[in-house]
Amino acid sequence: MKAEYINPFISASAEMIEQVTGLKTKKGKIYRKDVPYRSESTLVLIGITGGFHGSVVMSFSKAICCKIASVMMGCSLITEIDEIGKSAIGELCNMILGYTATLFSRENIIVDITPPTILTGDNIQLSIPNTVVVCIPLLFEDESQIEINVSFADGN
Amino acid sequence: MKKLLIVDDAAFMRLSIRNMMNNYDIEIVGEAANGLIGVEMYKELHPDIVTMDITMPEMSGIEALKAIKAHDPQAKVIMVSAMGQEGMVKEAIINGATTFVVKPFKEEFLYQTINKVLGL
Repeated sequence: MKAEYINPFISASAEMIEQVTGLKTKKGKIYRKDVPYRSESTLVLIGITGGFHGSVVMSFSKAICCKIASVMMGCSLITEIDEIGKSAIGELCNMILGYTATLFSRENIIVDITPPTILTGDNIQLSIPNTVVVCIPLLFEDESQIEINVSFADGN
Repeated sequence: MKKLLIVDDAAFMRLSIRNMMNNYDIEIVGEAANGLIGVEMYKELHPDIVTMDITMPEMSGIEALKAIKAHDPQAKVIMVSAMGQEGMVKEAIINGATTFVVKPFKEEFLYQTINKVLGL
């Protein structure tokens, strides 16, 4: 896996999360995930087309999801995610991937993204066939984390 | 008051722009969740200005921009997108967008941009 395909996701995620929520993150240990894999309670799925084909699944625990949505909505800490909260999380991921696309374009790799799909539930299992999944954990100061799972079609 | 139509598939963004403009002399006359509805609402509501997302289901913001400009060549449309690549901005401007705002943005910036586009 070429580093230039991963680095824009890391930079864009950290920068956009801090810009939108004020929360600082640091990169955890990046690793390749076996498929299928289980995920946290809130997932945002965004497809990538153009310069390469793949998808990104951002995985949030309920606690960090509530924290981020509360900051974005400018309200006190919520304990349940409603539809506007889900939309806020989806929009954050849209901004992250939009900025990722901008960073790729600076390297002459032109990609487009699909509208985000937001999934909630317990013990969600994902199977994305014929792909390589790279997991980028982003760690918050309170030790919570989100995962950015980048799936590249074989051959990228 | 000037009339604004918001076109964005994210309910959060529509609510955010509405809340931002509540602090100013801008009336939100409508909200559309995709480009197709946005074009219909433009024809019905005759807003002074439109904020238009790009990546949306049913009809993209670029296609909706083309349809609105075909209906009203004087339409003032601000593209509001997380996608800030040069090619995307150029495509929007070539198709008649008045200007381009990259998400995320501050409320003052959006208001100033709207005023500038309206010549206020």
